[in-house]
Formats: sequence, structure tokens, C-alpha cells
Amino acid sequence: MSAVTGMTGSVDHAAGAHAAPGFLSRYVFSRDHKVIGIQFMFTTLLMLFVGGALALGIRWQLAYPWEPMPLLGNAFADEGGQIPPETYTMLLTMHGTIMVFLVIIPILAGGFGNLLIPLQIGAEDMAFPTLNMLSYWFMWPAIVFFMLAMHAGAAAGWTAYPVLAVLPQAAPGSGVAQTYWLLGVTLVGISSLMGAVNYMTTIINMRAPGMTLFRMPLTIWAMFITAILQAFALPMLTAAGLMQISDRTLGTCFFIPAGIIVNNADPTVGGGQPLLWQHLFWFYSHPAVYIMLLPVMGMVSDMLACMCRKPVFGYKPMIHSMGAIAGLGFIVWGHHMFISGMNPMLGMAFMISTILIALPSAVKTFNWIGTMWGGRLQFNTVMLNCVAFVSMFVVGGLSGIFMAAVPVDVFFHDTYFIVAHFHYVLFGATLFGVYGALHFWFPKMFGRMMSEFWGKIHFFITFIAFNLTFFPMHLLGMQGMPRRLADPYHYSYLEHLLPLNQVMTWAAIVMGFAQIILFLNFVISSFAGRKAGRNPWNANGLEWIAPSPPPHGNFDVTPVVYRGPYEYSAPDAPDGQDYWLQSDERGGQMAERH
Amino acid sequence: MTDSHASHGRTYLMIFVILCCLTVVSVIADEVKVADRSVVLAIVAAIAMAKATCVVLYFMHLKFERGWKYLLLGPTLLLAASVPFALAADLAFHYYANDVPQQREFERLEAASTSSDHVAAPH
Amino acid sequence: MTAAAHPVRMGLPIPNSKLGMWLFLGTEIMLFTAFIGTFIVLRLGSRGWPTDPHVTHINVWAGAINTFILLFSSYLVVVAHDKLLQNKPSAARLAIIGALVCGLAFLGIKSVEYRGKFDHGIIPGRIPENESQAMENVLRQVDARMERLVASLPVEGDKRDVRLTAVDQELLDLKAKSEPTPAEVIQLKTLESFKTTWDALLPAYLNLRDHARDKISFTVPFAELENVRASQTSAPPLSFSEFVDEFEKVRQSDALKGVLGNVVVTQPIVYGNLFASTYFFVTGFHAIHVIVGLLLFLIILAWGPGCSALFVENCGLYWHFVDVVWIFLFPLIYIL
Ligand code: HEM
Ligand SMILES: [Cu+2]
Repeated sequence: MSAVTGMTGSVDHAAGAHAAPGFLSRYVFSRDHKVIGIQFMFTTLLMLFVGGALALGIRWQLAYPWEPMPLLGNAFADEGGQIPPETYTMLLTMHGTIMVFLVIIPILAGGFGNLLIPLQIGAEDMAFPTLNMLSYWFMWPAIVFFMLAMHAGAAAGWTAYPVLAVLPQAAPGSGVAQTYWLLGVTLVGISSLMGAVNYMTTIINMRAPGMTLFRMPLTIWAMFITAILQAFALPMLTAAGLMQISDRTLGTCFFIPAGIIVNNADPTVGGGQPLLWQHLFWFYSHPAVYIMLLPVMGMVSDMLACMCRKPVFGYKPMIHSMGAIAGLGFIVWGHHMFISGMNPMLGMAFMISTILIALPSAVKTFNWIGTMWGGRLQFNTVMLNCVAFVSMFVVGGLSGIFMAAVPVDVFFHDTYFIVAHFHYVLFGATLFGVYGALHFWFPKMFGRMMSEFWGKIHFFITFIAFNLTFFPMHLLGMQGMPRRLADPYHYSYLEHLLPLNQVMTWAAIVMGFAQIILFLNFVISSFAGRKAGRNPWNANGLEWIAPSPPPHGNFDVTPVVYRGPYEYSAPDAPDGQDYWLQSDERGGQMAERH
Repeated sequence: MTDSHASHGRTYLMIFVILCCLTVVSVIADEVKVADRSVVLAIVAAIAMAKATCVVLYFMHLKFERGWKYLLLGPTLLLAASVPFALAADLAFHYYANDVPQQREFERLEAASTSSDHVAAPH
Repeated sequence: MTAAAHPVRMGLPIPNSKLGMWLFLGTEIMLFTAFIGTFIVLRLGSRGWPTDPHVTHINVWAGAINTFILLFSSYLVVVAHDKLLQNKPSAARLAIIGALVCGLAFLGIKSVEYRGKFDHGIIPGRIPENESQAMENVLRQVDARMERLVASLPVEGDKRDVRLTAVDQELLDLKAKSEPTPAEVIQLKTLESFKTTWDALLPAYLNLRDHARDKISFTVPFAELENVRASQTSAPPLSFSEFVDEFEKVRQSDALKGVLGNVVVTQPIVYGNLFASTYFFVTGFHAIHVIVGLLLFLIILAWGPGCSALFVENCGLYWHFVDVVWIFLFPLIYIL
């Protein structure tokens, strides 16, 4: 079987059941959740490289300010590779935008969610396959708009705060850029919304017989809670985005106060409130940071249990803490606005709720450690990445608690400390989790294993370079280095930070190139990797009883679930194994409902 | 679906008539110029709630659905109802004065024109 | 145990499509929460809000009638579903057609309302909020007419000054011609009539503009403005109504009727832009939802008698939701 047919499953299945579908409907406009998941993954990995290149531009400027950047410089700026301040701002804007909206969010919900939800709950496909396909294809207009925005020089940061972001005269020449940017955000939001409704329906209504709610793997719980967060928080951003578009193009004034004079243009007429945008934006974007984390939390729980050969420690507390994170996640958005001029009374409330959210996060951390404790650990690539996930999340979560305290945040806000925080959670936690998940479920996607050797090389280089790049950011932040500033050394109190920044930049360059290893490993393994059977990891979820890769329709027969998700190291396990498959009938119990 | 489906026609008609009456009441509440607008506000808001409840319970059949309706709508409505309050806590009260030179001029002009015919009603 | 022999899927006892529709409506609730919440918060946070119907041109009766229309269409949709369940597809079809017509009527009334507001210059971002902005608004329109007038002339050049000197030059040349061709005669006529208009328009415009700029009453003649300004003596102030009277005089004059006929004089509305922004945005998005609902009805009709009751029910859920949103918008916009 060639690798390409491997993506959708055995040819004979397709031929046996119906007339073989054409190339377009099989690989491009496919309605099969696995193909859509893989499409999402390829697209987002591609975007990961675009976003990474932009980040290298930022790092270059911070290490060698105003010196022409080799290689990439010409792609970003025309003046012989020297990065002017507007371009620097564009770089950080589009880096953040692409990484958040086009990489992390879609690779988790769109990529892994699509791939894993039907497989792990024992369904043939999603509840609405066409909607699923549309949700992928709505990504593309968004990508086009983001690229247009990049070309036109969108420069309002990934948060696009008014007043400056809505006034075209504020950044001459970037007039259309922000409009493109907003259109991109709106479209990518529609794509996520379609996905979210689909995942929720699928998880509620398509579970295999016996797959009760509390037999669902934590990945499914995480995907479910993520979908809830998306469905109920995202519309706020969509609405806010539409309002900002209309402020920019139709003359409304939701975010434009009266009498503002920018760049000698006429004073604005209006009466709107710029802070309204920050509220609506963070109402979505704080839950969004959990949208970018919860699925990985779920997947890491699955992987850790399998690699430690132990049931997840505290399965139900894991679920409850995810629920608590989601619930609290809706009421902490104000911690991004402590010094935006928000009512100080609210600041107090948001401070308390933010510190509270650290509790469920800590519960999860201890449960992962508890899962590893006394297990039979296998230090393969998957496990290494999972351990990196847990430890990096601890670092990022701890700096979060610092910033949650208003008096501390007054000092830290908009410094590199914040940048350190969210890179520890978003890169350190989420991305390492994603690397692990790629290695873990790769055999299910392509029927082959990824190279263990290159996986480890990639992991160690990335892990060391990551910490060298981002840990010093805490120090920079504490020294007061502001974020989003093209030339910090303009201020003499920051001059002595230049050498540290240069070290970080070289670490970042090494880290960037290390991702090529991952990419090559991914591509080459997909057709030349070692063949994998149905269950290469001896894992017990439903996805592992399907063929690798599963055909359209997934399972040979609809599975019936008799057991919980993590029955590893079971003394009574059959056939000399140490685990019970979830669908193993022997001695299991058929559940009545739900 | 059983073929012995009893028609709900009469219930629906009754609900429709109730909805119409409620609308009339809210228009009357507006037309009768009560001095205190907050009374009107209370009446009108209560009527809107009542109408929405009628539509959701009967037209959207929620009265006849099972427990999932509470799980879905409870948190959603709670969230939806509290968002305006949370935003209002920050945006609806001016606890500090904007002191921007351009705005001062704007406010002066504004104050001058408030004395003309078209007055913005304070609320 | 029969369950093992015929294993049943887990989940809720409702079809996927209905569950999906309800979940989608959940997201819609949040979307309109953002819109309506914005409306409420901006209104509460604004120090003023235009509520006088003569200013806002909001008519409770239009809103009330639209409420009836939507309620009735909702009623028709549930009737259609009911009839389908009783196996009376043609009655159901009729009800759906009725709901469709109601939706169209709703949009019709809405557009008449929008039209009325546009005619009074109630357009977000273009509403003057104080007297000087209102005067500027009129002057800007006059200036635009002047620009257009000059641009329409058959002469060379792209700047206004260049074109005007070209007109003078051309007039001299043409008048000097002893035997003009017919085309040249027409050219001469056009330019001469332009010249008379322009000679009336320009001083009138300057007069209005300078008085407005200095906020000095028209009782002080144009020629003396300079002196008054220089000597800084106090002069009678200019009010917007005086400005409008003066402008109307100019507009009614024979020479300028054709040029200034459709300039819209908008009274200043304090906080009018915020009002218009929220009004058009919220009702506009509601109207878009109505249009989507109408498309769903069309699909039902095109589907014909075989249309499943489930599909009608799901479309109905959406339509009732649109109705519920209106139930909240009506008091918010039309009454409070
Ligand atoms: C232990 C839980 C956490 C706490 C207490 C926390 C707290 C905070 C606070 C207070 C800020 C605002 C800092 C400022 O701008 O002054 C912040 C920013 C941020 N956090 Fe967290 N955080 C936590 C976990 C996370 C996680 C898990 C993620 C993502 C997966 C995340 C992503 C972000 C991002 C992206 C920002 C910066 C947004 C920006 O200004 O561009 N945080 N966090
Ligand atoms: Cu946050």
C-alpha cells in the first residue's frame, strides 16, 4: 500500500463499499474526519514555520538592532535587510496572530480533535461531516487575509487595541491592513465555531455503546470542554471584530471616543469606549489560552498513562479540574486589563478569580506527577515530551500567579516577564505536548512509526534551546525591558541587556533549525517509517483496535465498550498483556445508559 | 413519531394571542407618559422576559424536552445575563475624569450645543 | 441482556441535527449577548442619549407592527410543523409561505425605517454633535457640490484653480471668435451659465463659511468680518438656526436652486453617532438573521412535500430564536 492511500485507509474497503471516490473528494474536499484532521495538521505545521520565521526576525532586531538581517531580512524589509520599526511591529503582530490563530488553536481542536474524537469514542465519523470539511476550508480565506494583512503591514499587536488600531490615520499606510487582519480573525473564528458545534454534538451523541461519560478518555473530556469554551466565548470576539471592522469602514464609533486627534487629522466624532474592545477581546482570549492548553492536557494524560503503564492518577479530579478551569476561565479575563484603566474594584475581583484558577491547574499537575510516580516509565520521545510539558507548565503557571497579583502586575505588565510567561505555557507546555502527541498518534495516522532516534535529537535540542531562549526573558522583564519595542537599547538602563539578548537569539536560531528535523522526520516517516501494527504502544483506547490507518468508517465492527480508559498494569489482564482494552468483553460490564 | 399525534394547534394559538396582548401592554406602557421612566423600564423588561419565555417554552418545545435543556441553557443564560453586568461595572460608571486637552474643548462645545433645541435626555 | 445483542449508542434521545441546532443557538445567544450588552453598556456609559422621537425618528408603532409580524410568522412556523406531524403537507406548505411573506414584510418595514433615518442624515459617523459640526456638515456638502460642478466642466486641468482659470481663458477666447462653430456656441453657453452660477455660489459659500468659522452673526456683513476679528470687539454670536435661515435663502435663490437642492441640513444630535452606531449595528445583524431564516424557508419550499418534519422543526428553532432576539430588541430600541 502506498503512503498516500494510507492516509484514508485501505483501497479495497473503498472499492468494496462504494465506487472509489475521486482524488478531489478523497484528499481535498474530503468529509472523512481523519483526512480533515491531517489537513489541519499539515496546514498548521506549515504556518508554524511562517510564524517561526517572523519570530527570528524579531529576535534578530533585539540582538543586533538595525543591522541588516541575513537571509530572511530581504523577505521582511526592502532596505537591504534592515528591519525598520514599523516592520518590527508588523513582525511581532503577525507572529502572535499566526501562532495563536493559525497554529495552536487549529492544530489542537482542528487537527488532533478531528483525528481523535471519533476514533476514541468509537464512532464512524463526526456528526456533521460536511460542516467539518467547511470548517477546514474556512481556514484558507482567513490565511489569505492574514497574509494580506502581513503584506500591508498590520501592526496593532495580536490584541489590536483601539484607539490606535481602529483609526486608519494612526498608522498611515496600514489603513487596510488592520481591516484584513480583522477579517482574518472573524473567518478563523467562524471556522472554529463550526468545529466546536460539531465536536460537541459528536461527543454527546455519537459515543459507541458502553462508552459512558466517565469511560471517556481524558482527551475526549478535554476536547469537549474546549469545544464548550470555543462555542460560548468565541462569539464575543466575532461580535467585537465585526464592530471594529464597522468602526473602520462604516463610520460607527463603538471603540472611538470623541475628540481624539491623531496625526493631525480631524478630531474624531464618536463617544464609544476603547476599553470595551479589551473586555470583549479578553472575554474570548482568556478562555482561548485554555483552548490552547486543555486538549494537550488531555492528550498528555493519555500518553503518560500509557508510557508509565499506570492508570491516570485521579481520573475524576482531572475532569473536575478541567471543568473548574473552564468555568473560572470565563471570569478572569480582567487580569489582562489591570493597568488599562479598568475600575480598580474589578481589578480586585479579577485578581482573586485568577489566583483561584491556579488551584485546578495545580491539581492536574500533581495528578500527572502521581501518574508517573512508581510507574514503569519508558523514556521514549513521547514520554520525554510529556515530561517537558508538565515541567514547563509548572514554570509558566507559577509566573502566572505572580502576575495575577495586581501590585506585582503593575510592575510586570507589558514587560518581557509576560512574554516569558506565555511562551512557557504556549510553547513549553502546549507545543511539547503536541510534539509528543504527533509521535504517539503518528502510527494511527499513517500506519508507520516516527523515528525514535531523530525524535529524541529533536526533543533535546528544542528543550535546551527553548529554555535558553525563554528563561532569560524573566530576567529581562524584571529589569524592566518592555515588550513590543523595536530598540530597547535606546534607553540607557537597558543597554547592559544586549549580550543576554544575543545569547537568546542564537538559542532561538538553533531552536528554529531544530524544527526542520521534526519536519523531515514527519514527512519521511510517513512513507518510510517502520510499519506499525494496530496497537504499537499497547495502549487501551478504542482508536487502537482500528486498523492503522483506519479506513473510511474507522472500525471493522462498531466497538462496544466494557471498561474504563486507563486499565494498565492490571494483574488479571488477559493474554499475558498488562492492560485491558476498553472494548474487551471478558469480565467487563455493559453500561446501561450515558 | 406516532401517527396518533395530537394537534397542539389550540395551545399555539393561545400562546400567540398572549404574546400579542403582552406586546400591546408594553406599547401602552410607553405611550402613557408616566413621569418615572424606571417604572416603564421595569414593566417593559418584565414583559420581554415573559414573552421570550412563552416562545421558548411552547414554540421551541422546551417545555416538552428532557433534562438536557437545563444543562445547555442554564449556564448559557447565566453567562449571557452576567456579561452586561460585568461590563457595566467598568464601562457604565465614570469613576475618574478623562482629562485630555482635546476632549476638554469638545466637551465645552458640547455643553454649548446642549442648550439648543435638541437636548440629549439625561437618564 | 438485549443491550448487548443490539447495542445502542450512548447519548441524548434527540437527533444529531436538533442537538447541533440547539448548540448553535447557544453560540448565537452569546453573539447577541455581545451586541445587546454593548448597546446597554455604551448607552449607560454615555453621558447622554438621544431619546426624543423627533430627533431619532424612531417610531414605536413601526416597531410594534414588526413585533406582531414576527410573532405571527413564528406562530405559522409551529403550525407548519404541527401540520406536518399530522400528515397534512399542503397546509404546512401554506403556513411556511405565510411565514416567508411575514419575514419579507418585516424587512420591508425595517427598510422604510432605515430610509427615513438616512433621509434625515442619521448615518453613523456623519451626524454633527454640536452646532459648529452641524454648520461644517452643511458647508462640506456645499463644497462637495462646488467641486463636482467644476469637475463636470469641459475644460482641461485637475486642480480646481487650474480649471477655473482655464474657464476664464476659454471664455475670453470664445468671445473673441468672430465666427464660432456650433460646438463652440454650445461650449460658450455652458461656460457662461456656469459662470453666473459660480459667481453667485462662491461669495455665498465664503460668506457662510467665514461666519460659521468666526461664529459671528450674519448681521455683521461679510466685508466687516475681517475688522471685527482684528479688533477683537464683541459681535453678536451666530446660532445654528440663523445659519440655516441664511443657507435656505441661498438655496432658494434662482441661481442656485439646481445646485444646492439636495443638500441635507442635519440638526446637531448630541451622542447621535453612538446612538446611530448601535442602532444600525444591532438591528442590522438581526435583519441578517431574518434573511438567513427566509433562505431556510425557501429551502423547505423547494424541498417540497417530502421535507422532513425534523428539518422544519430545526428551521423553526432558528426562526423562533430570531423572534426572541427581536422581543428583546423592541423594548430596548423603541421604548427605552
Ligand atoms: C496558572 C494559571 C495562569 C495564571 C494565573 C495566568 C495569569 C496571567 C496574567 C495575570 C496575565 C496578564 C499579564 C499582563 O499582561 O500583565 C497573563 C497573560 C497571558 N497568559 Fe497567563 N496565566 C495562567 C496560565 C496561562 C496559560 C495556561 C496560558 C496559555 C496556554 C496562558 C497564556 C497567557 C498569554 C498568551 C498571556 C499574554 C497575553 C498578552 O498580553 O499578549 N496563561 N496570564
Ligand atoms: Cu488570561
